[in-house]
Amino acid sequence: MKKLLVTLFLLSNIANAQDAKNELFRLYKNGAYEDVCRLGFNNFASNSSDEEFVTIYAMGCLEADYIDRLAVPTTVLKFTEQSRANSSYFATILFQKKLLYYALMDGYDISNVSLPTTNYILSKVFDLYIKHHKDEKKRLYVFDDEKDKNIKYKLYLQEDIKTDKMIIEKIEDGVVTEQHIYW
Amino acid sequence: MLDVYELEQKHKSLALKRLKPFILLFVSIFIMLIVLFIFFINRQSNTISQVDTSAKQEIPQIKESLVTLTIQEKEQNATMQDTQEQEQVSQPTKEQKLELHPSLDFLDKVQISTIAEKPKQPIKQTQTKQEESAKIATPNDEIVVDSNSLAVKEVEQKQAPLVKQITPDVRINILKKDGDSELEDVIKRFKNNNNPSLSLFIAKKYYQMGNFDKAYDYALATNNINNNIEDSWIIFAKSLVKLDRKDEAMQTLQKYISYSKSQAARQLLEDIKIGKFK
Repeated sequence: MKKLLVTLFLLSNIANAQDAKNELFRLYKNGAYEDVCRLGFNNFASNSSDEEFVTIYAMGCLEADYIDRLAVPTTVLKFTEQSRANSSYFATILFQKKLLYYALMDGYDISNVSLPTTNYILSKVFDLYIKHHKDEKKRLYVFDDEKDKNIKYKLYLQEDIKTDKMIIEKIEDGVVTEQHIYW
Repeated sequence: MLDVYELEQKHKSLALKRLKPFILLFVSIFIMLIVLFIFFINRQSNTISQVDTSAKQEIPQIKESLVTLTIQEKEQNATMQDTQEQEQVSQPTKEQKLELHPSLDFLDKVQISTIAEKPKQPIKQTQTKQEESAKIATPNDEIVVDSNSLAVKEVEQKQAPLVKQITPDVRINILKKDGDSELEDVIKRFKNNNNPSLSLFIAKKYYQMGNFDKAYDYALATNNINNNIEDSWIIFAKSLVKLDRKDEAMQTLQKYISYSKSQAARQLLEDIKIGKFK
């Protein structure tokens, strides 16, 4: 009887893990990135060995701008070529965010930093900041997109109670189409 | 009768005797660690002072040797320059950056009922809440809304490209303006380039101002250009409700929900049904 209960318990755990994974994939494909990040975070312990789960959780957090949550997936993803590529991708974005925040808050000089770039908006702004900020410490930076003249990126710090927030806005044709808040 | 108090005292003394060697050992180790720590710090400070004094003595010797070396180097450099210039011309400059991309091939193999991804949408600048970044994606079905009868048809799979026009490079001046003149600017720009982000912005502005007719018109225009913008459908339905066309609003939302599975649309439909949104 005890053995039966234990096996039932284990099977239910496996089923729950599979349900969580399916639900995560469904939410990701539906564009509910905050829900992906939240669900992934809550079920991470039981799915940490499943690299597909971890990757989607990290992508969801990335899209929802919870960049700091990429730290753990970066360390976990290492057993296949795809997961190592994704790990490098997340690590690059996390590092760029930290450096940019440091530079804006404390005036740290990152003009000689050379990192890979990614298609994520923070990477683009990071590259533009390194290229164009010209050793001036400002409250607000506006950069032109190198490929599309109608797109501009606004970078600034916003004061908050605990710590200042770094805000990136994408402006297309004079209208703010995206806003990303990091801290 | 046994004297309990005496027995307890004896027991305590015996227990202490047993622990004595351990206590002594612990205290001696602690003292040794402190001594080692102090010794180590003193040694470090001595080595630093020694390095400084020795470095000062070596500097004049190094200077003399450097002078002789520089003369020899100048002669060598003159011959090296020619060869180096030739090499630089042949080597390409490495300014191209490595670009990383995520690898999500496994996601295509997963067979789950999916919907089109959320498109880009203009957002309000809020200071307290994070807002999701959205992407433009290809819709599975295109919904065409007839403005006269609100008949919704399903058409073949089609991608609606945004019309972009190259405008001259204009600097952004961040100045506060009146709401109306700002809106007129945006309307002019929309008429030039038909950007659905602009028409959605206009629709939202008119809705905020209480001009539901115009909000409805611009939301409709947005849907005609790109029918996958969730916010546009929400404003469209809300405008219909405000114009006392509740049934049409609910019908539109139901059709939109059936192909998009949008949570926001579902929530709005529920609110309309129970009378929470009027």
